[in-house]
Amino acid sequence: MRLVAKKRLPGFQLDVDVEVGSRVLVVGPNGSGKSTLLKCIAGLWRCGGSRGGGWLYVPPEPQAPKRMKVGDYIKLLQDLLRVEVKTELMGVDYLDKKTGELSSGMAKRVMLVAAFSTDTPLALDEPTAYLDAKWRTRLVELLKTRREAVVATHDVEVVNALVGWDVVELEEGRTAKVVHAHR
Amino acid sequence: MLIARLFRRDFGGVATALGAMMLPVAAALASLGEGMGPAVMAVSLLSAAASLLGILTAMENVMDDREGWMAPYVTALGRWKYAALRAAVSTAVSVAAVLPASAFYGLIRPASALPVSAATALSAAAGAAVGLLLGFSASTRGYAYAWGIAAWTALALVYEVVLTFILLYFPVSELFAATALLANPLTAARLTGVALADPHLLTLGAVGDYLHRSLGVYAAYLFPAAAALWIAAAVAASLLEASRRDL
Repeated sequence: MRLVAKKRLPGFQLDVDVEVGSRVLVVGPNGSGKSTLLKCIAGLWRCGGSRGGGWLYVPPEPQAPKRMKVGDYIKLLQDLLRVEVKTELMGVDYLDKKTGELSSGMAKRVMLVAAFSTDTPLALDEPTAYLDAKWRTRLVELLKTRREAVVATHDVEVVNALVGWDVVELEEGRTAKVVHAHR
Repeated sequence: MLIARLFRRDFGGVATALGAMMLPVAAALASLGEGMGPAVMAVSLLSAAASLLGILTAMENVMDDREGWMAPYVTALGRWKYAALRAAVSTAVSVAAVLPASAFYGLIRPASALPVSAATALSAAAGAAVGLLLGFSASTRGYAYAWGIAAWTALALVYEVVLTFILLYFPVSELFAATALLANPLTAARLTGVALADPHLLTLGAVGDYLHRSLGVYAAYLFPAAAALWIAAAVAASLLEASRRDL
């Protein structure tokens, strides 16, 4: 597939056009444009190069609405994404709790189980952020089963674990290096 | 089902608080008695509160979406459908939140129930349309609230004071005054109730007399038609804004 995104922001310009496989790791220092690239391909941000869309973006920080019970939020996501959310994927067994009462890691797992229950290609931005060691390991297992995903990360463990994924390194909004995995 | 779930999620916060605040106002207005004067006063005050509720509720809903996990909406529905869904749910929440106050007023003063409920429902919907547009246009929640309060103050309070001043001190035509009344979504929504309570538009003075002379009984239809047009225009502008901005 081709990752194309052009976006001008104050003091920063993203200009990426690269041919990669369907499973990609995006790495690079802070401010190199990883999140911007993911938001562009997910169609959340209006960017040049391609229209974007069709990818489900999962942000680094948990963003569940504050006043809902986890179970109700999951039902809303099920209706929206038209999938059966598999809560057991990441041990989301706290359906009666309000989302505002959750720790950041627990709230992040709610988003991740919804995302991993779909067949939609995933654009995961720092997916291990807020997760403890147990759930980081589980996340890597789930990532290995995905057919289409773009993961932006600083986590060296994730990069080392996802053997067979292409790696795109960004620097100041441009592609610094592309490593194609052996296919 | 999705609409019902979103409605449940959004029916709370500002909508419930302001809806509850309207109940004692409705009780106080109902205590003024029966007749055209008290009914017009009830229409005016409850419409003002309903429009504020609509603006703040819709804005809060949009900002909750924008500051929350927006991606599932955009991925599953696309921007246009998401914005249309948001408009439908926020309008429904706003109208539902003002229902208890207008129903309470109607229970005590059944003769004025229709003007009051029509005006409050339409004002809530008009406010929600303005709130949607501001919610999608503002860069942050703080700016959205600032713009919302400013818009309500301008449209619901300052507009008519300025218009009255102009009518008193400048030789403007009745057509200009009538057009000015229709040019404000919140005024048009409020006057829908006024026209139902006062079919001859006596409370509007010379402008009401002009409208009644020109259009007869059809003059009363001008206000809901203008309010509906404004609501449609504001919702269309919100959809356009949602389709083009970074979410």
